Amino acid sequence: MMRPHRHAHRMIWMLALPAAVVILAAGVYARVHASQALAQPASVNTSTPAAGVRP
Amino acid sequence: MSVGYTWVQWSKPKRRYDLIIVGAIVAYLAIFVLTGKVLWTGASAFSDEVLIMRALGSCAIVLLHVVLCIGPLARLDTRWLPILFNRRHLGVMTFFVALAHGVLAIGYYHGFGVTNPLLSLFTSNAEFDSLRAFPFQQLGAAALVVLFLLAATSHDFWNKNLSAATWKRLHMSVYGAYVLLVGHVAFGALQNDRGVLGPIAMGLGVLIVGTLHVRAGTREAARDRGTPPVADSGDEWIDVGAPTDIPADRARTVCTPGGERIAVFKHGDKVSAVTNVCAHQGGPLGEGKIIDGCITCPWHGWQYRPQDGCAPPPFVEKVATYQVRVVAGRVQVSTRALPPGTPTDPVALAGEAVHG
Repeated sequence: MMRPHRHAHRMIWMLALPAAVVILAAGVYARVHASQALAQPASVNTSTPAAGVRP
Repeated sequence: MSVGYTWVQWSKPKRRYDLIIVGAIVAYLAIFVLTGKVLWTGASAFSDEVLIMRALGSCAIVLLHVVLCIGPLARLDTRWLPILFNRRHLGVMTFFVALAHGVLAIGYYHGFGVTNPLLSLFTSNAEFDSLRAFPFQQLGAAALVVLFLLAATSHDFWNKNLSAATWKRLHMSVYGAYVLLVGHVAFGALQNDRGVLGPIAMGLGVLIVGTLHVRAGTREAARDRGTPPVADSGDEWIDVGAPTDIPADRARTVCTPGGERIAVFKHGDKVSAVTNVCAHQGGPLGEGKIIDGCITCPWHGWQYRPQDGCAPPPFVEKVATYQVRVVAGRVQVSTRALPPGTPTDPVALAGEAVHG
């Protein structure tokens, strides 16, 4: 009847939340050190856009 | 907890809960789009598609924050329990809002080339070594897959068939989805905007979720550090307190050295003990109360008789029970769990001060 998984659950959020903080900090750092904002997301399907159709 | 299968046991509170959530989502989207049209004008204006995309994306993020906050809030203050009751509905709606955002984004940014949009999503950006141009869309897609898994297995059918422990383990991956979504926002929206509102809002969100989890976790850890058990009569016994320390029709929870929590209930002038873990989703029985003579889980209302840990007929669920005794005016509970459904003699508190 032990519940060791309760401790495992605690470990999950204890790892996940600091990871979220670090990732957010990295994102803010990247933005602060960027010269200008990107005009559009980096991954855009521009292989052969249909002229006049793509927004 | 039905012996006759019903897909969804709709009730008035459940309908009201869902209506409120849907209403709040619609209101959020409308306010976001209207405010966006007023605030972002001229060179900083967005197209309607992008505005709706952002409204849906930010709505999904807000909903996920709410979902993650409900658990610790309910542990810190029982007044939040009604929101926890149908938390899964909120999670499923979070998935659908995120899905709408994803479909719109994939269609808008990847749907106008010759490459398959989904293939384009995963292949058009491979700058994994760049913080500035990191392929954030892949992070969002991965989070969406996790949210889909959680939404698809949210029904009690899966809880029953996977077992409560496996189901809970699977659903803890919501924290993985959260980390992915923070990355999606940090390397996506935050890189494209010049305003400070985005980073502040996201930082506040992470701070609130983190603080609530730490507070609830710290409180639980402190509660688990109880008095050590004493050996007697071939068993180990934990001191629960005086009979007056246990509130009427409620429980006091103690923790064994092995980490198992035991809920000691006072019902009428008697005391009984069961495991603190509900057979449904592992809810904290000790935070529930006695209703109609049965221990009632605060999460979803599953019930067990205090004297044998069995659900009242026609239900068949059982939880472990524990021996209780009163020595020198102190309630003590054995640390040895009895097999689920084992009858125990409730200890009468006659002659003791029972009114807590």
